[in-house]
Amino acid sequence: MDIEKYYDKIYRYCYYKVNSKTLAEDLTQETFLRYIGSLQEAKEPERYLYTIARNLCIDEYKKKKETTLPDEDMDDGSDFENKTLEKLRLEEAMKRLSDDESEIVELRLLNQEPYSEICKIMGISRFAAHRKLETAKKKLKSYLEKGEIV
Amino acid sequence: MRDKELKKLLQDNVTPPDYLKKDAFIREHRSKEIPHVSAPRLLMQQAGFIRKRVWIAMLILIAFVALDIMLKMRDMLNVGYTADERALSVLNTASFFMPFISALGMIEAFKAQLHGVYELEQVTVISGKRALFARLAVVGLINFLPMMFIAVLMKVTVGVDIVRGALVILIPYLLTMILCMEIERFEWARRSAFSFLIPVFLVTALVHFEVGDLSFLTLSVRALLIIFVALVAVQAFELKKFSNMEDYAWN
Repeated sequence: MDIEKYYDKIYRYCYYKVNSKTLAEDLTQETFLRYIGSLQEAKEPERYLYTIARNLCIDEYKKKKETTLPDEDMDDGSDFENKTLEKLRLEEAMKRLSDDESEIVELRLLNQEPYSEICKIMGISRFAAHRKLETAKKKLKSYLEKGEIV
Repeated sequence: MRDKELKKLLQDNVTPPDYLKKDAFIREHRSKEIPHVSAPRLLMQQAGFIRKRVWIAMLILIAFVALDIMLKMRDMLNVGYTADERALSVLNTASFFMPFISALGMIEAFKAQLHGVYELEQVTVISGKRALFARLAVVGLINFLPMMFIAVLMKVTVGVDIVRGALVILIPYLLTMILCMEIERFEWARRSAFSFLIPVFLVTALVHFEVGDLSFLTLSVRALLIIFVALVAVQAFELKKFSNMEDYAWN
């Protein structure tokens, strides 16, 4: 498997889930280690990698909830200064989407995965994927332009 | 807001990963995935990359040496040269062509450097140095057999000692190889394959240089053996340097 090919995609995917650079890096590497550690190489590594990454992010989210750790990036003063208002608004907008909607935005808009792949990863039909993406886009645009979700 | 703008905003929002960390991780785990290519397979593979015209040119040169030895032999027998004179003449012919054969092989082995794509070769799945060594080995092996045939031919036709004949052939060949590897390091030399002619002329001049009665061709077998061993050591050192250069390229 070509790690280089998928590294950035998995990193971006994790980044939006955990909203922390260091944590996203760790989760990305953990994803690949788990994939490499599995006995067989999957026929569709992308799908397998996203599934591992998603599960790792969920675990991390649960841990975070229990320990209520502050966000690393937000905690770092210099990093925080560099964050633009637009970025904060975008993060806020992403938080307002449902899990499925944010998932499809990450896969389609962020990582530009084809619909066929998204359908396999999310286990939904092509039509449902398209409809979810359109709804998510509408919500994001509405929040970013008007400051509220219509 | 257009879809394109939203997409860009989403992508720009991601803080890029730490490249050093990413690179270290990829390197560490990529090494485990590199498919093992066995030495014979690599040799066959690299032999395929050597152009046919180069094989043909090298074999023609070697055939020419063999033919020249046989023709000279016939003429000299008619005219009545002494055995020593016949041996010297034949050795002269054999040693004269060796630098050309060697340089031709080196041009082909170093074609990545000459075409300015050696960096590309260094980062391919199969190590660049392994590929280079394989090419050098293929060229060397292919040349070695006909060269030994010439040594045997000299023994059969003129009675030149087989070790002496082989050394007289191998020393100019090896020296040209070393000088080609040295000259290849210069950027001006990499611009044209003709720069490999410099070692050829140098070696040819050196081989035929005479100080009184003493010349390369009249050296004793012992002296030739010492030179040969020294050249092998230098060549091993050169190859080691090449091997290190790839590590530098990686780091």
